[in-house]
Amino acid sequence: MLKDFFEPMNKIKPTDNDIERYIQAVHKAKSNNKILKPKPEKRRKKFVLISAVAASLVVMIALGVFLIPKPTVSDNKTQSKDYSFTLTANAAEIKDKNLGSDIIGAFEGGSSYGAYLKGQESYGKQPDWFQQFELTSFAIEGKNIKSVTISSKTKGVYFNVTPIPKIIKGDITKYNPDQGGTLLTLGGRSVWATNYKNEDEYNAAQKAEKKKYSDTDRLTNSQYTLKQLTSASYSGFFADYVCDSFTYNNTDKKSVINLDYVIELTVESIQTDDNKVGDYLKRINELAENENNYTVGVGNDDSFEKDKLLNNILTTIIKDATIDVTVNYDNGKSKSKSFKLGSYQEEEWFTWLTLSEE
Amino acid sequence: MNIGTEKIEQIIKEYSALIFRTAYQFLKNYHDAQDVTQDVCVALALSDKDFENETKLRNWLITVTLNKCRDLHKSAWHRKCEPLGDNIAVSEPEAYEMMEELWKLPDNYRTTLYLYYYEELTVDEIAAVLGKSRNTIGSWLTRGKRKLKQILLEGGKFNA
Repeated sequence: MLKDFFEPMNKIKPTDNDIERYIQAVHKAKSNNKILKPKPEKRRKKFVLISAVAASLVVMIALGVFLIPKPTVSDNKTQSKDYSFTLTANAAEIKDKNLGSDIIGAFEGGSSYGAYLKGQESYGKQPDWFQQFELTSFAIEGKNIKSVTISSKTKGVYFNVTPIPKIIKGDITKYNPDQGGTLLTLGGRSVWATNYKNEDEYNAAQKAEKKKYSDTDRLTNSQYTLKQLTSASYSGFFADYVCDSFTYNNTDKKSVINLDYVIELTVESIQTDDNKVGDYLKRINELAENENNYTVGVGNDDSFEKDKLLNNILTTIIKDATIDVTVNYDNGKSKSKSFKLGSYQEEEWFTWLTLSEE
Repeated sequence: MNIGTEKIEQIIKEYSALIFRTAYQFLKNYHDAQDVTQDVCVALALSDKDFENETKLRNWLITVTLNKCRDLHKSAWHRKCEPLGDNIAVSEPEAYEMMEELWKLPDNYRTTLYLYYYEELTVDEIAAVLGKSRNTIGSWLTRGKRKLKQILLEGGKFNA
């Protein structure tokens, strides 16, 4: 259906004259290494007018800077400014969503994994679920920062990192030339590395692949202890990548420490007697019974109810949840702030995870 | 070393429609899309890229186009200038009607659906050109598909 929907796009194309203009522009650029771009006349006039107003403002501000006496700033204030920090995220990107002025960022779920009963022993004795969120534009800004620790005391809220899977020599257990590949053992699991003749090739390819999506250099400069998810009964592959505390060492003395592409946030379903998470999961399990597979992730067009239930689980777990940020400074002092997790339901089946100052 | 002029002309003839479509669906403005297409052609001509194959060239062109679109969105010029009904320049009613439905989607869903369904990039390729993880692209595809279906249902253009 969607392929047909996009079909009229083949009528959206530049004219032959446009193409000729591009070619001329290229010739001109190659000979001059510069190009003048024509702009529609009306837009130019408007811009000139705005430029004139902007120029007047610049002059007025400049005069103000020189003519108005500067207030004196005490040493204490300067010092406290040198030892404070702010957490920034994708607030500019989400400003059209009317989330409220205190919201620093809103994050949407990436991977979601759910395992439900269905009587399958291999998926454990109780249903569970977890969702990962990409922390878009997540950064700590401040001066004299030695290290940053990000943690959460909330049960079911973790940070996930994805270290590069690495195979050490001697891990090769079987080579099968007929299938053009090697069976490798990685952390107790067997991996078909079809295109790689040995562990070095495999490791290099993993590193290159990882670098596309993750800031591996910053991850190397960090400390974290990987742990198992509390209730999830998945293979070690997913469970090994979460931690509840993550420290980044600012050895390159940056004043803006960008941590997206380094950590993500994971929210896990924690069932207690006081919450309804177990009930929600049981209902999802009933829905899963009607589907011909054991796991239900995002992606099923007929699963609106399931997605609503997953939203309920998410909001239950993050109720009262906080992220704690502690910054250690070069002078040995430290400063901590807590940030509150919340949710914004854009659709019945889709909720943003939000972050705000407490 | 720059790519030869003859080769550049051949690439422009072959790929300017792709660059233009990519920019147009992102920017929602015909003349801005033309400007970006010209910029990308010039960037290609002045680059010293050596493309191993057609796929790498195509993905590079899409990446550069989207980067230039984002730069244009951020620029003071673009923020201060309002479009003046530029879109009438797309004279094919069927295509414009389709674009109007597509533009109701958020940028990320729209671009992902367009690249997947029309340009036929794989999820991994879209992840690379948009600089996101493949899981995020998977989610955007799912949600974008669902949202587009809702939009078409509400507009009576799709029967459940």
